[in-house]
Parts: sequence; C-alpha cells; structure tokens
Amino acid sequence: MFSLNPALNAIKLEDSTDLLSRVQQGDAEAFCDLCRVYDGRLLRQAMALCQDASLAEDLAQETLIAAWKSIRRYNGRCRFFTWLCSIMLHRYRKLLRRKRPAALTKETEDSLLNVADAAASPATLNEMKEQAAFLQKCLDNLPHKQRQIVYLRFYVENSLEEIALAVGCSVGTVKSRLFKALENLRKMRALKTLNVE
Amino acid sequence: MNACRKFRKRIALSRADESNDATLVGHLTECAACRAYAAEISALCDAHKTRAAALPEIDAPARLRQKVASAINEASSTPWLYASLRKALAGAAAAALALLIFTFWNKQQQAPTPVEPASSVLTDNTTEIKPSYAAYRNAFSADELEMALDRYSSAGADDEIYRVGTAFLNSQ
Repeated sequence: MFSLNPALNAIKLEDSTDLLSRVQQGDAEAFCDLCRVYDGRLLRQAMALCQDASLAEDLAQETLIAAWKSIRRYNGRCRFFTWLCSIMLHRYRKLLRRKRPAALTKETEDSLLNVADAAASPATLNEMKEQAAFLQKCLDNLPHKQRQIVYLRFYVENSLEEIALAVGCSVGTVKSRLFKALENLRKMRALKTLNVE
Repeated sequence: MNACRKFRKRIALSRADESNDATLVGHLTECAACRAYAAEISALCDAHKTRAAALPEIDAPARLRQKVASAINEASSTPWLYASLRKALAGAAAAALALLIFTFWNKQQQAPTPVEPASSVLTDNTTEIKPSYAAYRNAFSADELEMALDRYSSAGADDEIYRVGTAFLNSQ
C-alpha cells in the first residue's frame, strides 16, 4: 500500500538498492517508496520533454506504472533512474505519435520564468523561452534512437558507457547515433539561423 | 577536406563527451574549418546542457503519487496466475495463427499446378485444321490428333494428307 510516512522523505538514493531488491520481489509498498525517491526528478525530465505540466505528469505516471510492470527486467547494469528515463522516452515516443505536444502553456511559461534570473529583462526571458522551445522542437524532430541518446547524455547526464548499458547496444553504436544526432541538430540550427536572417 | 571528414566524428564526440582527444588538438590548430565546426558543436552541446541545468526542481504532486499507488495496488491485486494465464493465452493465440498460416501455405504448395488448356497453347492458325500431315503432327490435343487420323484413314490417293502421311510412314 502507498505510504505517506514523512520519514521516507529522508530516503537517500544510496538506500534505493535495498528498496529495489524488495520491489523486484513484488513488494508494491517498496515500489511506492522508491517512487518517492525518483518521482520529482522524473517529473522534471518529463517536463523538459513535454513542456506541458499536465502532459508531463501523465508521462511520469505512465512511466512509473510501466516500470512497476516490467521491474523484473531491470538487471541493475545501469542506474535505476537511467532505466526509468529510457522507459519514459519510449512512452514519450508513443505520445508524439498520438499527438504533438501542445505549445508552451501558461503554466510552463511560469515554470520557466521561475528558473530565470529574477533580474533578467523580459526580452532575455523571452529569448530563453524561445531557445528552450526551439531545442525541444529539434529534439522532437530527431529519430527516436538518436533522441534517446542525446536526451540521456545531456539531460540525464549519463556517460556513453552507461547509455550503452541502458539502451542495450554497444558503445560504438551509441557514439555513432550521437554523432548523427549532433549533425542533425547542427543542421536544424543552421536552418533556423538562415530563416532568421 | 577528406581528412577533415574523418576528424568530424571525433570532434563531435569529444565535445559531447567532454573528453580530451590529444590528436585533435594538432589538427584544430591548423584547420580553420574544423575549428569552426568544433565551436558549432560545442555551442550546441552547451545549449542543451544549459537547458537541462535550468530545468526547475519540481516536487511531485501528491495526486501523482496517489495515482501511481492506486494503479500499482490494482495491478498487484491481480494474481500472478492470472497474468501468467493471459501470457499463455496470448502465446496460444499466436501459435494457432502461425499454424493456420502454415496450413494455408502448405495447401497452396500441394495443390496441383493448373494445366493450361491445349487451346490456349495453340495459336489461332493451328486450331484450324489444315490439309497437311505435318500440321497434324503438331496437334497438341487428343481431339485434333483423332481428327487428323480420321481424315488420313478416309483420304483418297490424290489427297495431300494421304501423300504426306504415306511419305512420313515410309520414312519411319
């Protein structure tokens, strides 16, 4: 059952190993505790992908439920959060197929405003928002496998070796996909510059 | 320029992975195009890293945890046997489908090749009976052959078919 024990807020990431082994034995309560460790970070990453608060929440929820269903497949070779993120990317891919995420909502704009420097001018804030939206649009336009690598590298901050373990391919393949993704992103950026000019 | 192409992947990966590739340094000091490329890739990587770092810290709302918990509890209340049964049923359905496809394919393989009707083999000219034994020899259907033999047996000595047929029989 779901626990609202405040003491669980003190759970550190290092403690999650024990939780994980309990979860893999089918302990639902342990999984809820594990969710408390990761759901904030996961939601943050979902927000980066969806740029929409309600979509991000749905995505995080779907990810956690999918993780529970396939928890036995987690082999511990990569970090648990990386594994969660790779599930989330698969769910996000399905979301993209169903419909393109809506443009920035008011809520997202507010959340972006919160992170911006309070002293920044409105023009700077606008620029930051546009830049964030453009970067996400570029990511969305990448093929799934390339997007997965870029996302895990820059947003989840995994090493290429960790990405290879999470995705289940060789480091060489990861390098190849990353290079292709960077080339594609560079071209998109160049196209945008040309359009602006 | 070809040499630069070889360097591009290494430049991009070294920027993305923040690794130091000593052999690149020498090339970058010499090649302005590659320096520009490296700067471009660095800017690209930095943009994504900056965006990632600027993502707001979010506390997951209680409703998210409640939703996940209720979904998990619901899934947990489903007995493992039921889940296994569902898997087994799915497997059986897949096997049945495969068997059906195989049976259909096998039946297709065993079916006799349809015989082309003799009339379709013959051209319009050959279907018409000509007074030439040589033409009758080329008859493809039993009917045509029978007709040819009938005609030969009833042919007179001055009939062409009789002369040609006799010449043929003598030559055998």
